[in-house]
Amino acid sequence: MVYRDRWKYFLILLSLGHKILFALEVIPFLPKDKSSSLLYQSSNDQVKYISQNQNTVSLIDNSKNTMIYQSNNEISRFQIYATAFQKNVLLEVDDMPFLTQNPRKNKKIFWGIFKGGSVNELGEGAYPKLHLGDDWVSYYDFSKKSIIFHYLPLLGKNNYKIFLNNKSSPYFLPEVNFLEHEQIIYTDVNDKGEEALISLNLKTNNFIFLHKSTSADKKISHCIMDNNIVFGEFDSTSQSNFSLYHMTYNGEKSFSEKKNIFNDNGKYLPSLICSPFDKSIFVLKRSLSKSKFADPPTLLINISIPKGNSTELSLDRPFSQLLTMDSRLLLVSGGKFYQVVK
Amino acid sequence: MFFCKSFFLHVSLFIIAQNVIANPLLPGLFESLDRIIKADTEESSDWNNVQINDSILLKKSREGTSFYIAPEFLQSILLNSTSQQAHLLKENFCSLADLLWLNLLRNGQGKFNAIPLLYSPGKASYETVWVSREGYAKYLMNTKCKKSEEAAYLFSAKNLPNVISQIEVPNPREEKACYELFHQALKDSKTPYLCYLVDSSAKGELSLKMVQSNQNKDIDESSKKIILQSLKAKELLGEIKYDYLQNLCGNLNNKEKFCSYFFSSDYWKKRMIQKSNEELLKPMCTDKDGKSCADMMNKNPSMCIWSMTNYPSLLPKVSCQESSIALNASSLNFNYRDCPGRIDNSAITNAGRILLHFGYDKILFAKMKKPQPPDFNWNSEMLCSANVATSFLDFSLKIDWETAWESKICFVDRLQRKNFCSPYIISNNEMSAFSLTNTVTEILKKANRMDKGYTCKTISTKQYDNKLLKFKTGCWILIPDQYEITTTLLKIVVDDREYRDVFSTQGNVKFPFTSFNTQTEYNNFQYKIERELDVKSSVIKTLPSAELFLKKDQAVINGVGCAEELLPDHFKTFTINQCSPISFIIAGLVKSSNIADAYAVVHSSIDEVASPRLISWKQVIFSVEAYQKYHPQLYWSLYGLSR
Repeated sequence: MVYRDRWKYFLILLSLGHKILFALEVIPFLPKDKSSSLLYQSSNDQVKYISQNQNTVSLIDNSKNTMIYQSNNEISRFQIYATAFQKNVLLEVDDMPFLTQNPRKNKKIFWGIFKGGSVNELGEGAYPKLHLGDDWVSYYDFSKKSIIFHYLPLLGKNNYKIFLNNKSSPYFLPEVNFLEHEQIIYTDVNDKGEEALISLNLKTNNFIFLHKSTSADKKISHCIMDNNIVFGEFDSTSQSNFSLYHMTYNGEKSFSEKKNIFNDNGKYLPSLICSPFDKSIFVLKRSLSKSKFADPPTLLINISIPKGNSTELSLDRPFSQLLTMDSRLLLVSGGKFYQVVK
Repeated sequence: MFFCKSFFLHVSLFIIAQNVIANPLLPGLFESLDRIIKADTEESSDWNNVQINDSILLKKSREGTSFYIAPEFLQSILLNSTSQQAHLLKENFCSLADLLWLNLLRNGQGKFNAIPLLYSPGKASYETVWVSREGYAKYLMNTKCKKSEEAAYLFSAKNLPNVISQIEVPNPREEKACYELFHQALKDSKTPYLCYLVDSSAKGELSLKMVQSNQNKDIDESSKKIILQSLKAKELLGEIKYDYLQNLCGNLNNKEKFCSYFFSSDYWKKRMIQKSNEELLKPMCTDKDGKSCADMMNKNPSMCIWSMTNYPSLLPKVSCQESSIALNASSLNFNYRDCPGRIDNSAITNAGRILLHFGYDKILFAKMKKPQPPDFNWNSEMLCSANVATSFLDFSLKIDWETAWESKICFVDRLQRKNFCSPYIISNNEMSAFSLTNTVTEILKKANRMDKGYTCKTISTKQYDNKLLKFKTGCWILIPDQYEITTTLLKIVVDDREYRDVFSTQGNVKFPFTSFNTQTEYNNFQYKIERELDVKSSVIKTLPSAELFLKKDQAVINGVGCAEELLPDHFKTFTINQCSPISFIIAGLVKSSNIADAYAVVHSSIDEVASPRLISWKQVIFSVEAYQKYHPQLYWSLYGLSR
């Protein structure tokens, strides 16, 4: 190939550079243990939580196996929630996974020290989450439509409960994040189905609407990176649309103006994930087919914050979900997990 | 366009020629279109001032002479007919008599009252005689078209209300049946009359609008009468019959378009054809009748997205348009609305829907000779999931599967030192043995705590006001606003006295939908329906097998999958191997642009029964695969069910 031709190819690649994500690739995530029993695995593979004998949770720390919980039932199902801080860990226990079907089932929630040998009961609810260096815990009580907050360093003394405005949607799950001690942002939905992103001080109950959607077919998803708040508004109808906004939290209930940093009229899964790699977010985009109905996503979109530059990775199969585990970014398809690596 | 008109004209001419011009002596009917158009515009002006002589027609026809319309005149009529009329004439020669009688045909000069007829007095010649339009129509009715004569009599003013009341709007379920219906309508002498009614009603409405908007102030009495008559016809027909006839008359030349009204048009519009289905749309628009509600949903598809919030279920729903496409392809039998958000165990919803789909009560009745319970078809907003829950409880007790339903209401009678417990559902269905009203009434009567003449009634806590006189006596069951249909704390008040300590609800409903260990191998819903209802099941793993299976009679596919992969827009994955199992019914398939995929019509157990979603087949399989990994026996949970 002559140099002139090489130069041409280089130009073509350069012109595609802003659209195609070369830096990332997707590989199967195959933990050594039976993959269906894995509950958590740290990025360095040193710490694992696994489910054993259908009713026990064990910690494997550098090959040392410690049982941390055993259910009285013959068959239970567990979830482990941990963050990259690795200070605390949360355990969610479903004691009747095959006798009742209920996506808004309240389950038993326990907490413990990360890599600790035991866990303690915290309450009943669903989808627990650790915040602010693992000091705060939140979980949702589906039966009362309330979010419960515990401050772990002063457990029992600094508890809060907020009730959602949502009266109509029985399966709505709010997204919650902490900006600072006792200052949260969360999503809620009103009787017309319009979602909102709200900032609330747990102590004073002062709140600010950061964003309100204008119709029932719009969903809001958000995440935070330091003091950056990123949220997307996803249109779920056929006239699909995705708008990404950015704002910063300046402390003491003060926010910068929200900026619309990215727009696309493609169909997206209405959930965004803050990148474990850098200051960016990831979203899954559905295929470009002309169908009016939703197909499983086949594109991974990475958008830089706050510039809003986007790159996309075309996936070789459709995926249903995107999540993080420690510093891993995982894709889910048919109960199988794939890792996005740099 | 030119070709179409020419083709249609010649096809119609060919058919009519066989009937009208059978005499070889007469001049030819087939001409070039240029020639026909020329005759239509130039010669037709001479057709207005002619001498009418009906007596020759009467006299000669009695003698056995045959009469035929002059070819130029017939050509002109066909050229000026609508394609619907031409199609009618092509399919049914006698419709010429009907259309002439109703004065619906035109020649180059417009409507006409005289028709030139040819007849042959001698062997090698023919003569022309002009007769009145009515005269020729009567001649046809007397000689060849007796049914037309009957139709003309039936549609006379005095018989009209009676005839209209006898019209039945058909609802064909298959394309073949619809085509048959279409051909019957073409051959029916009543069709031109019905189309005449529809046409004049539409014109009457238009005229009324013009009068109302003052565009036509100087309206005379006879015009007023015509308008009123036209409007009366529409009133007699009613909106449903009018809509159906509009479709028929507008598409007499196109059977596919006629049938699309039944198969590819809006699901609710079609369902509202039958008055008995109107109840189904009441929760959607409380202040409108079913027909207007269906129209509104069709015009504003986004109104379904956040609708029926009093019937709690997964929100947002899909648009009315998507839901209509899904329902058109769905084979699930349902004639009720439900509210999965009021049942904590969504497997009950799915099980109840399957039982109602297969008509479990009739099957068990035939098998066990046990008294047949009533059809639990309808319940109001407050008791919206009682139908599916009742069917499941009824089924489980009939087959002695009592462990499935442990949700009970208990009464501690301290005087008699007795405990009464009974399974219940929050329902006031008088015909059901387990409705809360019947259960509580029976318990209180057994314990001698209530007047024998009382029957307990349910009421929401909000509506109950003990200051009002009507609540001072009788038995009232107070239901909180937020409640689960099987596990809710209730208050029971008899003669203004609350039975606070003596009534309690306990237990819940838990049962394996499919087997998950050795104990549940023969003790799960899937096994029970196969055994008790003779429902046949077969594993479904691929799209072709699903397509094939759904062609069977009463076939649906039942599945259990992880909500995070079935409905990823609503349920997010936060941890590895997270799965919220939900069951669902696939009741049909809709083709996708990708031949390797299709959209499954999914009635998930957390969606309201009449709001299914179209979910990519791949997505469905992902959810089942994920559930298989989650299951202790790695069970594949997608099964076809048929009888």
